[in-house]
Amino acid sequence: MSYLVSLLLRRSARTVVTLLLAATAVFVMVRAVPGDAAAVVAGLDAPPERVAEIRARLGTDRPLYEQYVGWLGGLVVGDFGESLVSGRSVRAELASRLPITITLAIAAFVVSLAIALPLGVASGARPGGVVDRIGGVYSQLGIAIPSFWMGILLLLAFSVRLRWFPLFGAESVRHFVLPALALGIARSAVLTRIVRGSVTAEMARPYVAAARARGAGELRVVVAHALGNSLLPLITVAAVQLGYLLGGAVIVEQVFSIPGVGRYVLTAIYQRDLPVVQAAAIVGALCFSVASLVADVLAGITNPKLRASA
Amino acid sequence: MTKKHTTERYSTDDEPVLTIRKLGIEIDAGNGPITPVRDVNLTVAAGEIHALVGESGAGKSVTARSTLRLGMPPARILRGGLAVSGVDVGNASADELRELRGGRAGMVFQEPSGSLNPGRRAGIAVVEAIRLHTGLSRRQAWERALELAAALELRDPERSLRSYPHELSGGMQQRVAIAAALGGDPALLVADEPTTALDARVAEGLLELLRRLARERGLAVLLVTHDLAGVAAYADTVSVMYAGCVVEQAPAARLFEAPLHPYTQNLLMAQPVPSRRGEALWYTSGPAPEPHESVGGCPYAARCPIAEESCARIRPVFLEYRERQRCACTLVPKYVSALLGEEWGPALPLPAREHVPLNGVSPNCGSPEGHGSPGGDDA
Repeated sequence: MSYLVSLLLRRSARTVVTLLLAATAVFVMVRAVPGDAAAVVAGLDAPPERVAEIRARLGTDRPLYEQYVGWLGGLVVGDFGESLVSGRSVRAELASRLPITITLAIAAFVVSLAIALPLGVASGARPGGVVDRIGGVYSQLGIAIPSFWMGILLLLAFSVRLRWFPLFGAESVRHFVLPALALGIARSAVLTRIVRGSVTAEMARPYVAAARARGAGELRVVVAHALGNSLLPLITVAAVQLGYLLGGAVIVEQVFSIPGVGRYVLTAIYQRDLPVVQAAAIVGALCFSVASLVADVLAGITNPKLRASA
Repeated sequence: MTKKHTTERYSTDDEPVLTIRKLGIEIDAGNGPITPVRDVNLTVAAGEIHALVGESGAGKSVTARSTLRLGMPPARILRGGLAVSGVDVGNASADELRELRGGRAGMVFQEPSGSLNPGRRAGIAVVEAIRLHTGLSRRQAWERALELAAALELRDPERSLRSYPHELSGGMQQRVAIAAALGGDPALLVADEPTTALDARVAEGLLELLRRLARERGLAVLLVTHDLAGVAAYADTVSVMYAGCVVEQAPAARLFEAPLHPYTQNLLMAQPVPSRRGEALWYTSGPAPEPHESVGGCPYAARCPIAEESCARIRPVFLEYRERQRCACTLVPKYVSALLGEEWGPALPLPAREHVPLNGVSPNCGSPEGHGSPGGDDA
């Protein structure tokens, strides 16, 4: 038990450091972008007073260290400032979009696992078999086809032609089916290869031969022995994938006109809406860090070797 | 001749537990087939420890694994065959194979740390073996696993079986692995270098245990090993393998006292022995025939110190020269006669009885024209 507590504490401390570094990096990068954001927001013909006024609102007229401290302080209390474009609280704007992105991310994650696990395990259990060959072709295609293009194909087939699913929006479950498929299939392609590799490696271990020598059938060998051990290294990979999806599927959200975080950020980048861009970058880093934190804790719980070594 | 070994404990007149006759095994290894096993003849009776020795690549492990038809495919029986308790391994049905593996023959592997599932408690392997071959419930199987572990001198059986493999020492892991191999109460235990990864004292204890199992339970043990000292002390019979062929076979005491085959002598001379301290070790120069090469005459001809011109052409026949001492070398009668000054020749021809229905038997070592029985699919 104490092992889990100490693991949790150590990993949480690391997460805080990671986030601090991310916040600093975002701060530096945004300020390193050439051009005066205030001038862009104000427009080309804006009078100097208007530009100065925006600069004051942005705080970019203050010294850098003051801006930095203010930025970190805001982060701690969850204050990301106001959008330059709409003038509304960035936190409120993000909060209204996050549930949509989270729903999409989890749906896509489930799709990718639902494809990658059975396909990868069946491929890895019998390398060179029929399933493995089909899985190989599937992965090649999935890796080669960008998810936005897949999205457009899905839209054309199932929304435009067959009219089974709506064309855009995020009002109902049905709205999420096609984007989740587009994202999930792309993710599953890589994941299938990883699952397959992991299972193949596990099947070559002596304990699998020992189980066969005891009379365990192939199904039993795969399910009761190889599977558990081959999924351990996958927890981390899957978590990174989930973190990636949570960070916002910018292009797919654009294709399906889903009002999520990704689309919000894209618009903000076009408009040089600095507070929004900064906030979104930090939220993305947060999602990633928390996902990998959860993965490490899960790995710690499931791996008896790690559990004992503490 | 001193009798260190009580060979009367088992009788070769009984039906042996394991019979291997003229076995050749081929593996399709991508770039053409290889023949790691060319001609293996041996039997293991109940209560007997039969050691299989020879240098790496001689085909010992492939032979051992073939007793449970492990690794087939990609391997297949090219000629000859083998039987465990009367079951023809090469032609076993799916049901027979399930029963064979763990039920008739159990197997222990070289790496004790690798042969137990690292993610599950060690005892699970034993319980699984018991449940796969009996109708016992989980509870009952656990009880029996504890009894078995105690019989195998596993310290604190309850705790050991509840531990994860990495929490156990190598010797303990190997004992659990043996318990798992014996869970289905097989008549034959195949141990593929079970002591190689262990330190000498632990290895000794394990061999002691194997002998006790053989003597007390009548377990037939096929022991693949490099440890000649262990063989001398614990094995009843020894088969010496070279390039996929058994070249000599004898009761352990006799083999170490009076080896007949030049390769056996060579192998024994290559071992450091206290009585020959200071003398140079003997070793054979040059490589053994590779498993993909076909061997025309004696496989050892190219490295043999006493080889004659004819050795590379004439295939030696595996003959019994003294009681229960067989050897495949055409020069044996000649050089032994010269050595002892007596007339020497094969004492008895090999018994012709064959327990296994054999397909396409080719008696010659490494002959490429043998027709194999299809190995069949893994169940």
